[in-house]
Amino acid sequence: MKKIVITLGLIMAVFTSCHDNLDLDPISEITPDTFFNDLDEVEIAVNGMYNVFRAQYHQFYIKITDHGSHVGTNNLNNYNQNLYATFSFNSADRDILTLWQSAYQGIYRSNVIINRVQEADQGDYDDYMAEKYRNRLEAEARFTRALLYFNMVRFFGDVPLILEERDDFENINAPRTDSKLVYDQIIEDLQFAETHLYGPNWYTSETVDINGEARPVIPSYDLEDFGRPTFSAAKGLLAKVYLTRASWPLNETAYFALAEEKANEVIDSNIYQLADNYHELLSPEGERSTEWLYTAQFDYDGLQAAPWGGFTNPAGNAKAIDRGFGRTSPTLQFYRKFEEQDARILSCAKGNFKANGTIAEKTNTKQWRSYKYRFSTMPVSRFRTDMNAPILRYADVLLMHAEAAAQNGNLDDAVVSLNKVRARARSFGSSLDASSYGAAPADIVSTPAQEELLDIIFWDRAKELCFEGHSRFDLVRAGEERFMEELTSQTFMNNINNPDTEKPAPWIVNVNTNRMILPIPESEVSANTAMEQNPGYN
Amino acid sequence: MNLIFSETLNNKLLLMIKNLLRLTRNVFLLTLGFTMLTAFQSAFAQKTLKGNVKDETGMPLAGASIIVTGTPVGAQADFDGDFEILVVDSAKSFTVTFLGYKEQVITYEGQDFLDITMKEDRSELDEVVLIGYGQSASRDVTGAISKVKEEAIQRTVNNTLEQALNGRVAGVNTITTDGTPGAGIRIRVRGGTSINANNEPLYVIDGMPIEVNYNEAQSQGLSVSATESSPLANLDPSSIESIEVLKDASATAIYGSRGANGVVMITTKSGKVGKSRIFFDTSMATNFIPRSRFIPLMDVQEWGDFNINNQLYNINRFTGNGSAYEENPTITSNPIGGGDGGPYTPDELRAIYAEQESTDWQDEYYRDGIITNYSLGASGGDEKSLYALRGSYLNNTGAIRNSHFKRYNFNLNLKNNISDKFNVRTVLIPSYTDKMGPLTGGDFNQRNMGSVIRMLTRRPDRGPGVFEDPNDDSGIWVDPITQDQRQRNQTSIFDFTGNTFLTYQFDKHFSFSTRLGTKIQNGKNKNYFPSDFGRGYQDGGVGTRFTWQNLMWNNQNLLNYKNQFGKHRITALLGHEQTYRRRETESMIAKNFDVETLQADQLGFGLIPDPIFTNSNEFQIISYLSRINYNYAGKYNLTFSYRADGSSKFEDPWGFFPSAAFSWNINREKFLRNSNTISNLKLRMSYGQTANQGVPAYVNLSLMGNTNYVLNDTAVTGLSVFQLGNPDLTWEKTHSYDLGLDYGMFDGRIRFVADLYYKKTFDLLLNEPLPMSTGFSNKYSNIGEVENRGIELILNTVNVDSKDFTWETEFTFSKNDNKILDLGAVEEELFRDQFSNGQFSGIMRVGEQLGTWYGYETAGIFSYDDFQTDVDGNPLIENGYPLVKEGLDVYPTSTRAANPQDADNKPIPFYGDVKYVDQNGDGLITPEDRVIIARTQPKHYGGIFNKFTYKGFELGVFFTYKYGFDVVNGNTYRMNRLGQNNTNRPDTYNDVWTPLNPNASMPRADYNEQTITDRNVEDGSYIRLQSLNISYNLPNKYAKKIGVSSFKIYTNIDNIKVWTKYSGYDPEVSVSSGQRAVIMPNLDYGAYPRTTSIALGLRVGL
Repeated sequence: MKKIVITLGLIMAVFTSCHDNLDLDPISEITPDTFFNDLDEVEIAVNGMYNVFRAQYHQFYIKITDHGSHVGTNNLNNYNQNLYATFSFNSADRDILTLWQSAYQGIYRSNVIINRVQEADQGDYDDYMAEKYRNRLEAEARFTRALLYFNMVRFFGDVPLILEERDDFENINAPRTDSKLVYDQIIEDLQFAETHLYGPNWYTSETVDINGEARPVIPSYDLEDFGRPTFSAAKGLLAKVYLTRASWPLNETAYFALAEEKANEVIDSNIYQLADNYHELLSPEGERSTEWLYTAQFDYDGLQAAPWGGFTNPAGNAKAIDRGFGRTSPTLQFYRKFEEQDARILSCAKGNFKANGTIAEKTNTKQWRSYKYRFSTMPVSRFRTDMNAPILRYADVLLMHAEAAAQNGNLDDAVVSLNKVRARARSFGSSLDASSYGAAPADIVSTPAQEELLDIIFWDRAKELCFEGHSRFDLVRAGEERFMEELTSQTFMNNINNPDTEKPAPWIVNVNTNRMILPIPESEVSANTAMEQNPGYN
Repeated sequence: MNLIFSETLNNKLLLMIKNLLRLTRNVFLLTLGFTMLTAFQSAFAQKTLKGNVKDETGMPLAGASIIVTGTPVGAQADFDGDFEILVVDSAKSFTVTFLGYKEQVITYEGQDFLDITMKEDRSELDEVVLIGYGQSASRDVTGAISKVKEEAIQRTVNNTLEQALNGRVAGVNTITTDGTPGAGIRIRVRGGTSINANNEPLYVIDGMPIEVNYNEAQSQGLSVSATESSPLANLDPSSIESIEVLKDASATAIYGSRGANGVVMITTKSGKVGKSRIFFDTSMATNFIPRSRFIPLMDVQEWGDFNINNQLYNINRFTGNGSAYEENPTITSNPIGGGDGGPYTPDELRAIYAEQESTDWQDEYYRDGIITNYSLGASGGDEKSLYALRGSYLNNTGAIRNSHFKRYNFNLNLKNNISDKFNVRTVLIPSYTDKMGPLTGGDFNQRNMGSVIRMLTRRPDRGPGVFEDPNDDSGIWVDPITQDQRQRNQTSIFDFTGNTFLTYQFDKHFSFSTRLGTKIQNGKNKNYFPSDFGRGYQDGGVGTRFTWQNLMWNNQNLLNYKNQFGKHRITALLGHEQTYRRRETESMIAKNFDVETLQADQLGFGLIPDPIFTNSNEFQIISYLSRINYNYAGKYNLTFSYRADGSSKFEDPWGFFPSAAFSWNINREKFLRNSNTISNLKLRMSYGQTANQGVPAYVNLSLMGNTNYVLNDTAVTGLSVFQLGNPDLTWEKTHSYDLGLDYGMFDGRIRFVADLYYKKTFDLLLNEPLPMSTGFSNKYSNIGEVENRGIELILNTVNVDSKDFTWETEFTFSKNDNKILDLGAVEEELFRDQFSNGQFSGIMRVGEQLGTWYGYETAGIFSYDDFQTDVDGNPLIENGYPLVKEGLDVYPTSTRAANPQDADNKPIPFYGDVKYVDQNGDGLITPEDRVIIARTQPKHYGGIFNKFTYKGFELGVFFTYKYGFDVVNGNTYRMNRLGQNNTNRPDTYNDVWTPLNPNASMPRADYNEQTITDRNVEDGSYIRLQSLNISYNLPNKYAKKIGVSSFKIYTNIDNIKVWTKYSGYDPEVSVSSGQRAVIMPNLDYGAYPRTTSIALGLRVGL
């Protein structure tokens, strides 16, 4: 009996005293106040920041950037998939929301890192490396922030510019900031990034003598860091930012000079070059080509992985390795811009796959599909491939250089860069089938007039960079007139062999210049009292 | 009130209570020790007293309880009314009670035999009802409490307690998600008080509080359907003695922090003094969906006509000339032939369709399920120890193929009087449930569609099989039966609820009790999606396993006091309570299976595992509570209670919850005391504060979680902040007022209870959408106010009460008006549904009720009358489009791709388009034109139960109804939305718009609806014949002849008929989960239809 009493007493004592604790710490999560202690922990936060690219550059991205452009459309009778092709999107669309949400999540995460990285302990690193490493981490955050703001400002126009780490819920209603100020910040961030980011793993830096030891001025990444932005990526992106700022809608043409200069820096540094085989660029092998300045990293690891190939490649027989869902088609106008012997025309397929992996050609141009992503082996899933998402490659830099130079009146310089891209298209084409490809596109030998050259560059960009998430931006940059002209002149043919079947695309009546920028997501407008919608949207 | 309960005072009180309790505990422990040591050493003088209890007609009252007044010692009358009791010399009197009879106190003067005659009491004033942390005579209760007794619980077939509550308790609205066996149930006591926090009542099982929070699983991003189960789902109804629902603040405030949504108190059966008895109960039921409730779908001929119209309209779209509709058509596509051949004329195609065999998939899909149920129990005991135990097994094979629900239960209820001062009660309730069935619900994505909706949309020309659909290069045809065989969804839950309650009686005034209870739940959900269709198709087969483990313990220490001075009676309670809860979850997903036969039983066969996800969280509530009840002369009752709760979920944990109540037994006043008609008249008034803390743990803290990335084609760890903490978060509080009247006439033959109430909830715990530009999509904050006001009526009458025949009627009526009063800085907030691409949504708007859907208003179909004609009556065509009349306020929606726009950007209608109402008159249909299209809370609801008995026969008929609420028919939305030929539709689509049918109710056949409109909203009002019960009790003398003490044979028929205008299976449906269950409820999308069941059963007592 005594035992019972003692047991009871013990039970009560235990339950009423030991657990008098209402301050419980989380068990399976970490609080930010206990993290960011040293640089290695900051690097983990940087990795976590990059995670937003998986949402930012998810399959819808190419839907928004390539459908409804001079290059691509979608002919499936599927409302959710052809919203952008038919200019039917509105502020309630989920893809716009994801774009906006993932960007601002990434911006928040980069702000946290920028805010905290200078306080982090340097750990085992010596002073020299610690400083390089610390600045690199900040530069990675600034590069990411710049890239996301650049996307936002191109998609939406003026957007809220938030640079502080938010730690409470005060001032949640951020108004839109003049896009010039957003651009100023993007440029500042990228200038920091080009100074402090490392070089790629094959890059060898000049050295400096520190306490009798030769240390790299600009360190290069280890192979295991493949996928982090390099200083060249920052320069290339900066060139694109300048070029965009100089074009519609800001038209600050002084930036053309800066764009040319910055693109030239990348070209002169000779760190990146054109790959031999154009069609290998968007394959599991080619994604490590030294042509790529920057890609968003995906891997088939069960996480949301990049399905661009699945989204854009032709549908058809399940045995075809490259089979996708056929949700992107080239416009007939774009297809017609190709010279027949330009091997890049194979980015367009005239139908769906047969079992042997060849294309069953269709005469109805609505059944043509884009075909840019090539897998040597059957991907695990059409939805999830381990292809990286394209963001910036060397050919783009060359074409940017050409365009900026042409705009600056340096037409000869422009032609040099343009011809490099054209030469690669020929050289890889001849390796395919000498009789069909390799003869085009010819080098430009006599420098054309500025307008004509810019038009050539415009279409060369389209042919080179189609279905890689650039088309909408290039078309918008070209200005209102061209935007309307390219989009309202589009046609279909029920039978490519019968010119009588050519009809205007039914949705061209939906096109207007308000569609050059996207609507702000409905939920942002409803939750943010300081937010105003873009004109032409409700 | 606020002044009295100012913060400093609160803290002082808290401290006082704390110290007082510590003191009591120490005293208790000392005394306990002392008594225990002495009590068992001394024997006490006693003798055996015999007696008999019968009613006024001389019938023995088996089970009547005879207790030595003031002690727990007592006995129970056996079947002949006889009893024996061990009496100590000190006994002064006996108290004799029996349910439905008036209590008697018999003075003990050393008699050897007691002959007791009990008088019937219909007023039930002396009935004991449970109140928080104690019990009380019904007459002394100040709060609004409803009780459901055992016999009502026994009347259901499916053996879920939900039906016992449905329509029987005024003010309690039960909402079942759908008809899935073992489906989760939501209970709303007096309307929902909360928007985002928990709206479920607190369950108290044998005194142990158990909180259900459906939001919890949601907040962890997990499938709610996998884990959703109310504590009721695991209980065996045959082991329940009673369910009490505490509704007003006077009753619930003692539960303070968790009382805002009412309290459901469940008492399991306990042993009674007397000879041991064994019970055996078995029933067998068939369980089916009556054909009359099937949704009429198109047969193959009708479907063919629809497809022909689909193509013809395309051809003639722009001419709009009816005469040419079927002339010279060229239809190139033949859905049955796979798009080859042709061109066809409509008649040629009709001939092809005519040859096809039509499959009615509903016929194939549903079956007659069988429910078998066995239950074996024993109970008995003496004055020292009482026991009741029961084991039961239920197997419901479900009316959908490949579904079942099995439940294994065990119940043990022990009570030991260790000494006359000390007793221990122990209740153990282990159970195991195993639920298997196709995934219902799902989303609007073709790939994730649930089983039922997939079945409904299967085309009627095909039979069983799995093959690639020639019409759609990404579509796979699979028949619904094969799909469910191959695609598995199984949930098993082990649940243990155990509870020990010790009471020590210091003297006749003071007693102390302590309770230690735990609830442990282990659950596992397994899913498999095969590689050849549906969700598994893209990933080569997907297997998932999700497991969870919940531990909850609860400790209560209560000091009770009661005393009587002359006409003054006082009872008081002081207590301390602590509840700790820990939850751990693991989720595993593997993809790409080469060997699929073992499905999710061997995830190791999946070549590509997803990242593993685990989560653990804990929270704790510490509480101090007190209550004092004062009664004067049995007429006036005053109750005050006061409770302090500290929750680990808040930075500032403490909340203080007072209540006050008054009741007046008017019938005890002189002027009514001798009334022959009025047997009871009581007025009740109460006010109280309760609260809600139903938000996930750690919402006050910023948290970092796993957001991995890939570098060099290798996964690297990444962490980022996914939640920004809100340290200002505090309790959601509710102020409640209740005015009640209990009225009884003719010795309780007519009983009437009415309650008026008003509840105002403020500082709502709202998961508020944030501007995404903050980097976060939402946060919990204390924002806004919601009110509920309502009326509840209960009327019980004994219409006929003769010797052989009785007729009783029970009627309940509830009306609750719910209104959002304030939402902080905004007037309304939009929420997206989980199904479509953001095209439809729910809205919260100030001045509206909770649970409203937002969408477009429509006004019929565009037809010839809406377009301009020339003098000859022919349509005017401009640029290929017919010219619409000027001055219309309706437009087609511009979110549709197929409608072009005119020069002013206005969409140009076609014949057969749906007319959308342009609410703001800007000539466009935009999201601005959305209005509230569905209100989901019923205007009123209730039930009527009639019971007839004739000798041993009993007939019960139970109707329930709900009136004035909308149901959003997601099934029709899904079926309407498909433009392709390869799915079926409801047969209402025989009436599509064509030039030959210009007054159609449905749009043109190629119309592809993309957004929700009021066309998808239907009135859900219904009357349901909920149950019909017939039973026969063999009279005791015959029963004894066959060697049993009781023998009952019965039939229960459940869900016999529903009278409703709703076109789906059942208007009582709500598949939305998590917080959407509050904001966007009453969605019928692929819900498992509720079945009708007919049971035959046998209940034998040995």
